[in-house]
Amino acid sequence: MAERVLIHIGQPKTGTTYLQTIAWAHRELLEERDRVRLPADRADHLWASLAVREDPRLASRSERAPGAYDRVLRGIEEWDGTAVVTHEFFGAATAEQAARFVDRIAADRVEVLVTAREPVGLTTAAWQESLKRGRTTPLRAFATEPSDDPTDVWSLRSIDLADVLDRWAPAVPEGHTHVLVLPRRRGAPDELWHRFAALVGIGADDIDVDVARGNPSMALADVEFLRRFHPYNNPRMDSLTARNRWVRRYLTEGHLAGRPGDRVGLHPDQVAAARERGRRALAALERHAVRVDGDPGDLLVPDDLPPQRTPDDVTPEELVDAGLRTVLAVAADLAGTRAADPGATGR
Amino acid sequence: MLGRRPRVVRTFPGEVGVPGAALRVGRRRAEVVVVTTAPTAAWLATWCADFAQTGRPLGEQPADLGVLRALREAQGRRTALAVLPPPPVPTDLGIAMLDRVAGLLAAEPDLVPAPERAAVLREVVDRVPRTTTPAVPRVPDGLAEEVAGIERWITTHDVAVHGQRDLLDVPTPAPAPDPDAVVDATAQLLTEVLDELRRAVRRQRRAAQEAEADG
Repeated sequence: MAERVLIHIGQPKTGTTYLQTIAWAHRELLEERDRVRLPADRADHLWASLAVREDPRLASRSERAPGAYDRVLRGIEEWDGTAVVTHEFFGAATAEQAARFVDRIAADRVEVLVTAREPVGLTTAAWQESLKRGRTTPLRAFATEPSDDPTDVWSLRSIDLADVLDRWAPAVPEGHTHVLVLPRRRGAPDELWHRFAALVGIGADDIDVDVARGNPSMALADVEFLRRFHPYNNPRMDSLTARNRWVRRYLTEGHLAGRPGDRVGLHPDQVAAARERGRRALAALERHAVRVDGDPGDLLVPDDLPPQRTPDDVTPEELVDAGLRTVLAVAADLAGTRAADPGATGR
Repeated sequence: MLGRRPRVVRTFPGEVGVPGAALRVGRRRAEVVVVTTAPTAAWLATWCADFAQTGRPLGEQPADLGVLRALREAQGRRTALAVLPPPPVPTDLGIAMLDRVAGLLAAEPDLVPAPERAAVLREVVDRVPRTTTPAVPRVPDGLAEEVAGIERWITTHDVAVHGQRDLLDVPTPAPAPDPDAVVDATAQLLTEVLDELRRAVRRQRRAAQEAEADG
């Protein structure tokens, strides 16, 4: 039975993948030196989040997926130090699902950790991420209405911090919920890791933070072109694995991400809603006696928010340019693949 | 008989049915057969054939079809002009995309490294949507002048015309395509290229596995 379990439940697009990548890369060191365990395997944490949220698509993910929840729980039960369960999709669970999950964990103390950030940047980043996964929802319609569906991770269920805290904080005793606030102005590149590590109880030495790649954002025209591309491409993606590999990793992260250009901005009504979410988040921190790491003010939308450029402001010519740049990049890879495989008949 | 086989002058790439047409015309005792098609299609076919090497916009593609030149060179010999159905050439959407590719490359020469450029552009050109009834937003003056010259030459030099003579008309310019339709066509083009890359990678992987299995 674990002494302490931290459930890191998101939010998505708050550096979760970065933190997870570093932690999993040093799994053995963390266990031996810091007595911090990541139970089961990395994919098990994703699948456990689906199980907790009773997602009917769990079994279709992998034949190992349905057993993931039990493997995570067993890994905790067999450990006597600190255990960390981390996936950003946990945050969308209902209050009942959160409570049931916490009840099943064999530990002296269970704590909830939320990494959080300013709501405008969070919303635009979450919209981009949803598009990387093949969604086609226009920004104007993204996260505008509350969702009752815990499988709907790309919605207000994940990005409304007050709502997330209202569902998760009651599952653990008062004072056992942490919010780690990402600063609006970025500090040192590995600052987030060090704050996370300190909160969990991981030593600073011998950790190579460079194992985690950056996850740069896309330019506005590239994002909107990606959205327009999916209706043609989605029918060709015969599995989740294919889409993950070819759209998310290869196309988006390999070619689209990091290009120069205006970044995605929100519509005025969405900015107003984000401001309100920021204010409600601060109230929720107090209401649930949350232990805050960082400046809670960084959860508010700044008064001097720069002008927002939305997909509605992008011209068709910009979209065509974004698309053709991508076509040329993929065609270059295709030509290179053919050149490396002269035996292939090709076309 | 071999000695009577006419000399065939092809004036556009991607000819459809040239050997058959030449044979039919040759039976009528022509010494030279100049083969052409609808002027716009011939112009576009030439542009496409050169595009991988030149990457030039359509507006910079010379309007000279080479037909009048070929007819002049054959002066004094029995000449026939075979007008064949056009080959598939880019649609208005395909033209808009290739034109924009040319614009991007002109603005950013490093977008595709020079050694790879021809192979890369070939992959793109081969996949733009095609039609046999092309429409262009701007018909160059030179094209209309050449067609008028061909018509004059045919009449004054007693050139026999075979095939679809009405194709020799220069079409009126068509409106530029809806910019939103170009976005969709670009998305479709990317789907095609990505699909082909996936197939190429699968083939490569399969070949590597087979090579490994063979020891």
